[in-house]
Amino acid sequence: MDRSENLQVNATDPGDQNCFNTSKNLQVNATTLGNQNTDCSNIINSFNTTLNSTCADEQLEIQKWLSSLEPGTRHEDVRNRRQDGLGNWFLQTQDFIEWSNFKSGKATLFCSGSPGVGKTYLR
Amino acid sequence: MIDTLCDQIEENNTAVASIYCDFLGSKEQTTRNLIGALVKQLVRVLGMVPPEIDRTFKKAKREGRGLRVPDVIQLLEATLARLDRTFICIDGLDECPDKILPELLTSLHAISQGSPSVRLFITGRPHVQSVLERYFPDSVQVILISPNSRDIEEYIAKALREDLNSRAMDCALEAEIMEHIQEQISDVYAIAISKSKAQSNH
Repeated sequence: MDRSENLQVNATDPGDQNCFNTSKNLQVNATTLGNQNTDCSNIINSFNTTLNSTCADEQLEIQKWLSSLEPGTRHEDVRNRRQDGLGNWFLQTQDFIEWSNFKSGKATLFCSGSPGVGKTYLR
Repeated sequence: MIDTLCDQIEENNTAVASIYCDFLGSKEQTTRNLIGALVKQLVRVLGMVPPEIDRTFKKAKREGRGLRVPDVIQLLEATLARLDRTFICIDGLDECPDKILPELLTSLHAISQGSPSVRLFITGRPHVQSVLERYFPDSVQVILISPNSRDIEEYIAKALREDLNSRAMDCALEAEIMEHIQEQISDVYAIAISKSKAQSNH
Protein backbone atom coordinates (compact mmCIF):
# COMPACT_ATOMS: atom_id res chain seq x y z
CA MET A 1 0.00 0.00 0.00
CA ASP A 2 1.24 3.47 -0.81
CA ARG A 3 1.85 5.25 2.45
CA SER A 4 1.21 8.64 1.03
CA GLU A 5 -2.44 7.75 0.52
CA ASN A 6 -2.86 7.62 4.25
CA LEU A 7 -0.96 10.75 5.06
CA GLN A 8 -3.03 13.85 5.34
CA VAL A 9 -1.56 17.04 6.62
CA ASN A 10 -3.43 20.16 7.45
CA ALA A 11 -1.86 23.48 6.83
CA THR A 12 -4.29 25.79 8.57
CA ASP A 13 -4.91 29.29 7.31
CA PRO A 14 -3.25 28.87 3.90
CA GLY A 15 -4.20 32.42 2.91
CA ASP A 16 -1.78 33.91 5.37
CA GLN A 17 1.40 34.73 3.51
CA ASN A 18 3.23 35.96 6.56
CA CYS A 19 5.93 33.63 7.77
CA PHE A 20 5.42 34.71 11.36
CA ASN A 21 2.07 33.16 11.88
CA THR A 22 2.82 29.85 13.55
CA SER A 23 -0.56 28.45 12.54
CA LYS A 24 1.09 27.64 9.24
CA ASN A 25 2.69 24.68 10.96
CA LEU A 26 1.66 21.31 9.66
CA GLN A 27 -0.52 19.11 11.78
CA VAL A 28 -0.94 15.37 11.53
CA ASN A 29 -4.40 14.11 10.85
CA ALA A 30 -4.17 11.28 13.33
CA THR A 31 -7.38 9.45 12.47
CA THR A 32 -6.28 8.47 8.97
CA LEU A 33 -2.73 7.54 9.83
CA GLY A 34 -3.30 4.55 12.02
CA ASN A 35 -0.10 2.74 12.98
CA GLN A 36 2.22 4.77 10.81
CA ASN A 37 1.33 7.75 12.99
CA THR A 38 4.66 7.87 14.85
CA ASP A 39 6.92 7.89 11.77
CA CYS A 40 4.98 10.64 10.07
CA SER A 41 4.68 12.69 13.23
CA ASN A 42 8.44 12.71 13.58
CA ILE A 43 8.92 13.93 10.02
CA ILE A 44 6.29 16.63 10.42
CA ASN A 45 7.66 17.74 13.77
CA SER A 46 11.12 18.17 12.34
CA PHE A 47 9.65 20.09 9.39
CA ASN A 48 7.82 22.40 11.78
CA THR A 49 10.95 22.96 13.87
CA THR A 50 12.87 23.99 10.74
CA LEU A 51 10.01 26.23 9.60
CA ASN A 52 9.77 27.98 12.98
CA SER A 53 13.49 28.60 13.32
CA THR A 54 13.58 29.95 9.74
CA CYS A 55 10.77 32.33 10.70
CA ALA A 56 12.57 33.43 13.86
CA ASP A 57 15.73 34.07 11.81
CA GLU A 58 13.79 36.09 9.27
CA GLN A 59 12.06 38.08 11.98
CA LEU A 60 15.47 38.98 13.45
CA GLU A 61 16.77 39.87 10.00
CA ILE A 62 13.82 42.23 9.45
CA GLN A 63 14.37 43.86 12.83
CA LYS A 64 18.04 44.44 12.01
CA TRP A 65 17.08 45.83 8.61
CA LEU A 66 14.63 48.27 10.26
CA SER A 67 17.34 49.74 12.50
CA SER A 68 20.78 48.99 13.87
CA LEU A 69 19.90 50.87 17.09
CA GLU A 70 18.84 49.02 20.23
CA PRO A 71 17.11 51.59 22.45
CA GLY A 72 15.92 48.84 24.81
CA THR A 73 19.46 48.33 26.12
CA ARG A 74 19.77 52.00 27.04
CA HIS A 75 16.37 51.93 28.74
CA GLU A 76 17.43 48.98 30.92
CA ASP A 77 20.55 50.89 31.94
CA VAL A 78 18.54 54.00 32.89
CA ARG A 79 16.08 51.85 34.73
CA ASN A 80 18.77 50.18 36.82
CA ARG A 81 20.42 53.44 37.80
CA ARG A 82 17.22 55.30 38.56
CA GLN A 83 16.12 56.10 42.07
CA ASP A 84 12.37 55.56 42.23
CA GLY A 85 10.35 58.34 43.78
CA LEU A 86 12.49 61.21 42.50
CA GLY A 87 10.62 63.54 40.16
CA ASN A 88 7.26 61.95 40.97
CA TRP A 89 5.73 65.42 41.29
CA PHE A 90 6.06 65.66 37.51
CA LEU A 91 3.92 62.57 36.91
CA GLN A 92 1.20 64.12 39.05
CA THR A 93 0.97 67.39 37.16
CA GLN A 94 -2.30 68.13 35.42
CA ASP A 95 -0.42 68.63 32.14
CA PHE A 96 1.13 65.18 32.24
CA ILE A 97 -2.06 63.41 33.31
CA GLU A 98 -4.17 65.04 30.59
CA TRP A 99 -1.53 64.34 27.96
CA SER A 100 -1.17 60.68 28.90
CA ASN A 101 -4.96 60.19 28.90
CA PHE A 102 -5.24 61.71 25.42
CA LYS A 103 -7.39 64.46 26.92
CA SER A 104 -5.17 67.44 26.14
CA GLY A 105 -5.44 69.13 22.79
CA LYS A 106 -1.67 69.18 22.43
CA ALA A 107 -0.25 65.87 21.30
CA THR A 108 3.35 66.73 22.13
CA LEU A 109 4.75 67.23 25.60
CA PHE A 110 8.18 68.85 25.86
CA CYS A 111 9.98 68.33 29.10
CA SER A 112 12.58 71.06 29.38
CA GLY A 113 15.43 71.11 31.86
CA SER A 114 19.09 71.85 32.38
CA PRO A 115 21.76 69.16 31.98
CA GLY A 116 21.84 66.66 34.83
CA VAL A 117 18.49 67.69 36.23
CA GLY A 118 17.09 64.19 35.74
CA LYS A 119 14.87 64.42 32.63
CA THR A 120 15.93 60.98 31.47
CA TYR A 121 15.44 59.48 34.89
CA LEU A 122 11.81 60.41 35.44
CA ARG A 123 10.01 57.20 36.20
CA MET B 1 8.58 57.96 32.33
CA ILE B 2 8.46 54.99 30.00
CA ASP B 3 7.84 52.66 32.93
CA THR B 4 5.05 54.88 34.24
CA LEU B 5 3.35 54.80 30.85
CA CYS B 6 3.85 51.04 30.61
CA ASP B 7 2.29 50.59 34.07
CA GLN B 8 -0.65 52.77 33.12
CA ILE B 9 -1.42 50.79 30.03
CA GLU B 10 -4.43 48.72 30.80
CA GLU B 11 -5.71 48.44 27.29
CA ASN B 12 -3.99 45.63 25.40
CA ASN B 13 -3.45 47.45 22.19
CA THR B 14 -1.26 50.28 23.48
CA ALA B 15 2.48 50.56 22.98
CA VAL B 16 5.41 52.67 24.12
CA ALA B 17 8.49 53.16 21.92
CA SER B 18 11.48 55.34 22.67
CA ILE B 19 14.71 56.65 21.24
CA TYR B 20 17.66 58.20 23.02
CA CYS B 21 19.67 60.87 21.24
CA ASP B 22 23.29 60.79 22.27
CA PHE B 23 26.38 62.80 21.25
CA LEU B 24 28.44 59.61 21.51
CA GLY B 25 26.55 57.50 19.00
CA SER B 26 26.06 60.26 16.46
CA LYS B 27 27.27 58.18 13.50
CA GLU B 28 24.39 55.75 13.88
CA GLN B 29 21.89 58.52 14.54
CA THR B 30 20.29 59.12 11.23
CA THR B 31 16.59 59.90 10.84
CA ARG B 32 16.12 56.62 9.02
CA ASN B 33 17.78 54.63 11.78
CA LEU B 34 16.00 56.45 14.64
CA ILE B 35 12.53 56.07 13.11
CA GLY B 36 13.43 52.51 12.14
CA ALA B 37 14.17 51.86 15.82
CA LEU B 38 10.61 52.96 16.68
CA VAL B 39 9.16 50.57 14.10
CA LYS B 40 11.38 47.78 15.44
CA GLN B 41 10.07 48.23 18.98
CA LEU B 42 6.44 48.37 17.86
CA VAL B 43 6.89 45.19 15.82
CA ARG B 44 8.13 43.50 18.99
CA VAL B 45 5.08 44.74 20.92
CA LEU B 46 2.77 43.45 18.21
CA GLY B 47 4.55 40.08 18.23
CA MET B 48 4.28 39.88 14.47
CA VAL B 49 5.62 41.58 11.38
CA PRO B 50 2.82 43.50 9.61
CA PRO B 51 2.43 42.36 5.97
CA GLU B 52 3.34 45.87 4.73
CA ILE B 53 6.76 45.56 6.36
CA ASP B 54 7.24 41.99 5.17
CA ARG B 55 6.47 43.05 1.58
CA THR B 56 8.79 46.09 1.68
CA PHE B 57 11.56 43.98 3.21
CA LYS B 58 11.32 41.29 0.52
CA LYS B 59 11.19 43.88 -2.24
CA ALA B 60 14.19 45.77 -0.86
CA LYS B 61 16.13 42.50 -0.54
CA ARG B 62 15.27 41.49 -4.10
CA GLU B 63 16.27 44.84 -5.52
CA GLY B 64 19.25 45.29 -3.20
CA ARG B 65 18.06 48.70 -2.03
CA GLY B 66 18.16 50.16 1.45
CA LEU B 67 15.37 51.91 3.35
CA ARG B 68 14.94 55.64 2.83
CA VAL B 69 13.33 58.11 5.23
CA PRO B 70 9.93 58.26 3.41
CA ASP B 71 9.85 54.43 3.32
CA VAL B 72 10.49 54.09 7.01
CA ILE B 73 7.83 56.74 7.82
CA GLN B 74 5.35 54.75 5.78
CA LEU B 75 6.25 51.57 7.68
CA LEU B 76 5.85 53.39 10.99
CA GLU B 77 2.41 54.66 9.96
CA ALA B 78 1.35 51.17 8.87
CA THR B 79 2.46 49.81 12.26
CA LEU B 80 0.77 52.62 14.22
CA ALA B 81 -2.50 51.85 12.42
CA ARG B 82 -2.48 48.41 14.08
CA LEU B 83 -2.35 49.91 17.57
CA ASP B 84 -5.09 51.83 19.40
CA ARG B 85 -2.66 54.13 21.22
CA THR B 86 1.07 54.70 20.98
CA PHE B 87 3.42 56.80 23.09
CA ILE B 88 6.63 57.84 21.36
CA CYS B 89 9.40 59.16 23.63
CA ILE B 90 12.44 61.05 22.37
CA ASP B 91 15.06 61.64 25.02
CA GLY B 92 17.77 64.31 24.75
CA LEU B 93 16.63 66.14 21.63
CA ASP B 94 19.44 68.69 22.17
CA GLU B 95 21.97 65.87 21.64
CA CYS B 96 20.54 65.09 18.24
CA PRO B 97 23.08 66.11 15.53
CA ASP B 98 22.17 69.48 13.98
CA LYS B 99 22.30 68.14 10.46
CA ILE B 100 19.52 65.62 11.07
CA LEU B 101 17.38 67.65 13.50
CA PRO B 102 15.24 69.42 10.84
CA GLU B 103 14.55 66.14 9.03
CA LEU B 104 13.79 64.26 12.25
CA LEU B 105 11.41 66.96 13.54
CA THR B 106 9.66 67.29 10.18
CA SER B 107 9.14 63.51 10.13
CA LEU B 108 7.89 63.34 13.71
CA HIS B 109 5.51 66.21 13.11
CA ALA B 110 4.12 64.53 10.00
CA ILE B 111 3.64 61.30 11.95
CA SER B 112 1.88 63.01 14.84
CA GLN B 113 -0.37 64.96 12.45
CA GLY B 114 -1.24 61.83 10.49
CA SER B 115 -1.94 59.58 13.49
CA PRO B 116 -4.26 60.95 16.20
CA SER B 117 -3.53 57.82 18.23
CA VAL B 118 0.02 59.02 18.88
CA ARG B 119 1.33 61.08 21.80
CA LEU B 120 4.88 62.41 21.66
CA PHE B 121 7.03 62.95 24.72
CA ILE B 122 10.26 64.87 24.13
CA THR B 123 12.95 65.84 26.62
CA GLY B 124 15.77 68.30 26.06
CA ARG B 125 17.65 71.29 27.34
CA PRO B 126 15.70 74.56 27.34
CA HIS B 127 17.43 75.93 24.23
CA VAL B 128 15.82 73.39 21.88
CA GLN B 129 12.34 74.59 22.80
CA SER B 130 12.37 77.32 20.17
CA VAL B 131 13.49 74.86 17.47
CA LEU B 132 10.77 72.43 18.52
CA GLU B 133 8.09 75.12 18.46
CA ARG B 134 9.11 76.08 14.96
CA TYR B 135 8.47 72.55 13.68
CA PHE B 136 5.44 71.88 15.89
CA PRO B 137 3.48 75.13 15.77
CA ASP B 138 0.64 75.22 18.35
CA SER B 139 0.95 71.60 19.35
CA VAL B 140 3.57 71.56 22.10
CA GLN B 141 2.88 71.68 25.82
CA VAL B 142 6.01 72.59 27.80
CA ILE B 143 6.81 71.48 31.35
CA LEU B 144 9.91 72.81 33.05
CA ILE B 145 11.85 70.28 35.11
CA SER B 146 13.91 71.45 38.06
CA PRO B 147 14.74 69.35 41.07
CA ASN B 148 12.67 70.32 44.10
CA SER B 149 14.21 70.29 47.56
CA ARG B 150 12.56 66.98 48.49
CA ASP B 151 14.13 65.28 45.45
CA ILE B 152 17.55 66.64 46.36
CA GLU B 153 17.17 65.55 49.98
CA GLU B 154 16.17 62.00 48.97
CA TYR B 155 19.03 61.78 46.51
CA ILE B 156 21.65 62.88 49.05
CA ALA B 157 20.20 60.57 51.70
CA LYS B 158 20.62 57.61 49.33
CA ALA B 159 24.17 58.61 48.39
CA LEU B 160 25.08 58.83 52.08
CA ARG B 161 23.50 55.45 52.87
CA GLU B 162 25.58 53.89 50.11
CA ASP B 163 28.79 55.64 51.06
CA LEU B 164 31.52 53.02 51.59
CA ASN B 165 33.29 55.19 54.14
CA SER B 166 30.18 55.37 56.26
CA ARG B 167 32.14 54.87 59.49
CA ALA B 168 33.33 58.42 59.17
CA MET B 169 29.70 59.57 59.20
CA ASP B 170 27.59 60.54 62.16
CA CYS B 171 24.24 62.26 62.46
CA ALA B 172 25.69 65.71 62.93
CA LEU B 173 27.92 65.44 59.85
CA GLU B 174 25.04 64.05 57.80
CA ALA B 175 22.81 66.96 58.79
CA GLU B 176 25.57 69.40 57.95
CA ILE B 177 26.12 67.89 54.49
CA MET B 178 22.39 67.98 53.79
CA GLU B 179 22.07 71.60 54.75
CA HIS B 180 25.23 72.69 52.95
CA ILE B 181 24.41 71.04 49.61
CA GLN B 182 20.84 72.34 49.67
CA GLU B 183 22.12 75.86 50.25
CA GLN B 184 24.67 75.54 47.47
CA ILE B 185 22.06 74.30 45.05
CA SER B 186 19.65 77.10 45.81
CA ASP B 187 22.55 79.55 45.34
CA VAL B 188 23.33 78.03 41.94
CA TYR B 189 19.70 78.40 40.94
CA ALA B 190 19.49 81.96 42.23
CA ILE B 191 22.55 82.86 40.13
CA ALA B 192 21.16 81.10 37.06
CA ILE B 193 17.79 82.84 37.38
CA SER B 194 19.29 86.30 37.89
CA LYS B 195 21.63 85.75 34.92
CA SER B 196 18.83 84.69 32.61
CA LYS B 197 16.73 87.62 33.77
CA ALA B 198 19.60 90.00 33.14
CA GLN B 199 20.03 88.54 29.65
CA SER B 200 16.36 88.84 28.79
CA ASN B 201 16.38 92.49 29.87
CA HIS B 202 19.05 93.32 27.32
